[in-house]
Amino acid sequence: MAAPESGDGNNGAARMVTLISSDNTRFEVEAAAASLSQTLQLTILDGGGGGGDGIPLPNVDSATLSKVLEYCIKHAPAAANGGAPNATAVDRAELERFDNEFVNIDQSVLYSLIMAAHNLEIEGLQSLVAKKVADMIKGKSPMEIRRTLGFPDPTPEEQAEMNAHMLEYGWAYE
Amino acid sequence: MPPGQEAKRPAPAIARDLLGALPDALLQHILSFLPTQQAVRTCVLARRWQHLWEDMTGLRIRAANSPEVPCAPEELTLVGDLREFVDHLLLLRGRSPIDTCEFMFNVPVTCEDDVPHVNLWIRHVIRCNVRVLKLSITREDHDLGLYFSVSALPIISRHLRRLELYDTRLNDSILNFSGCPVLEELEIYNGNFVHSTKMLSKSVKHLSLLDCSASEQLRTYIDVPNLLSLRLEDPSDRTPVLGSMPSLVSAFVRYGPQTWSDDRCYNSESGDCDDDQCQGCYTVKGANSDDCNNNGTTKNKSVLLRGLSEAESLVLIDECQAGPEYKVKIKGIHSAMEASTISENLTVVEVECDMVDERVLEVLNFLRTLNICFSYEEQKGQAEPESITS
Repeated sequence: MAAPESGDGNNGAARMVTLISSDNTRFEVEAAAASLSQTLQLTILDGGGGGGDGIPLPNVDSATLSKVLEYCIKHAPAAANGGAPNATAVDRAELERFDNEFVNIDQSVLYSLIMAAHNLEIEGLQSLVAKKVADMIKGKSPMEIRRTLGFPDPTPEEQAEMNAHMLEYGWAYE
Repeated sequence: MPPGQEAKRPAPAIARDLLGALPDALLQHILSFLPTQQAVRTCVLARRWQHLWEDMTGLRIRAANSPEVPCAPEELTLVGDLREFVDHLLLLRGRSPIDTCEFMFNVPVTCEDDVPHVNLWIRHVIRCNVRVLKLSITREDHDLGLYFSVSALPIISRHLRRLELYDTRLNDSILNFSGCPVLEELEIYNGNFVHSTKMLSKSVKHLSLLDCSASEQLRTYIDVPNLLSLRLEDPSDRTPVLGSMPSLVSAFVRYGPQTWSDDRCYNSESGDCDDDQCQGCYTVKGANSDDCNNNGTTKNKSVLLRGLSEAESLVLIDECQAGPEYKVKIKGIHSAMEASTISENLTVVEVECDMVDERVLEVLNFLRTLNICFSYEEQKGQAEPESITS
């Protein structure tokens, strides 16, 4: 299978690109890792991000970007293999372990991450975080979900509205 | 705080604001990982959440508090408990597009009337442009097995990209995918091909047939000419006939020790007893297969090779007697002097077996006629390789 020239270090050093966070921190990263982002991939294919230029990412702060890149670097080799077909069970288990650890973080970081994944179009990361948030509220009652997500306790009017809704949506309750 | 505790703590105000700033599409993506009943129930959380579920693009039609999969059929939720919910759900959300949809429940033998109803749900989600569809519908206690019978109408969809079928009784109509021009991935687990003579798709690139059963009398003809990868594991009864697949890159074929194949000769060590009455040695006509004569007992064992011959990577495993612990691994590389007769592309054949017996030697001799040379790799350190490298 033909590997893209930019990628995997076959011809000496891998091609690097520079990303610049909203707070002006510069991150140098392999093009193959950054290309997990569909948005960045287009820029990189056009030759952007090399040398002193850097690609500005005005919507992503440095804390979030470093976390995003941690994910991309870990997942880049598997992605270069065209997904999973050739990956061994060991490789897959290792990625799964990494993913589980990776999302074991504060909710505020999860939301910043999913927003960044959405903006940068990193499908795997967006799904990973979405699933984590879903797991946080799975099996909980509406009141428990409100508490988990940090909604303030409902006012009497809101409570009445919730109760009315529950009646209307009786078909969604066994 | 010990690791693992952070996410369970109620969110501070900053997290709540960040959550509030997420676009609807992201909240809907989150909801799509919940069983759909739970996702709908989030409509009472706050005004903003009231209508989110209506345009959710991922549906998981299963028990609201579903056990972890895989689970025994009796642990699955009953279709009767989902009927009212799914009817409301599908009517109220209308034709809003669906990306991924999964049906996972039990239609017990007492619920025969629900079979056409469930098929209607399936038709509906296909009309909602579903791209990934997974049907895991089981018939508990049905005398004909666990298989759910999908309706005998071909699927017509310009959107369906991946289809997963579990415990499904298949028919020629459903297996005719010519109405699905972008269907690329097809996985069938424990499928029943007894009444299926042909699978047809020009678009499928990745095909997995796992633990499928078929008929004793009839072979299913697999006509997927643009396949890139094939996984055929433990096919019971008659092995399917593979049509030509010129783009095939990798293939994995395994007959596990529990596989009851009608194509195995149970009479002789070599696997070929040469008896006209042995169904393993004299095989049935392959349905629609143009390389079979109309004589029902034509000796025609090569049902797989025509399709597999273009593979660059080919793994064939027969665990008929040995377990999965191979002791000898034999690697065949086609002779560089002469192109391998079987294929220009096939470069490596791996034969893994417990010991080199008569049957294995026969396979090796056959492969050597195709200019494939062999070398041994010891595994588990127990083999005593006697060299037959040509």
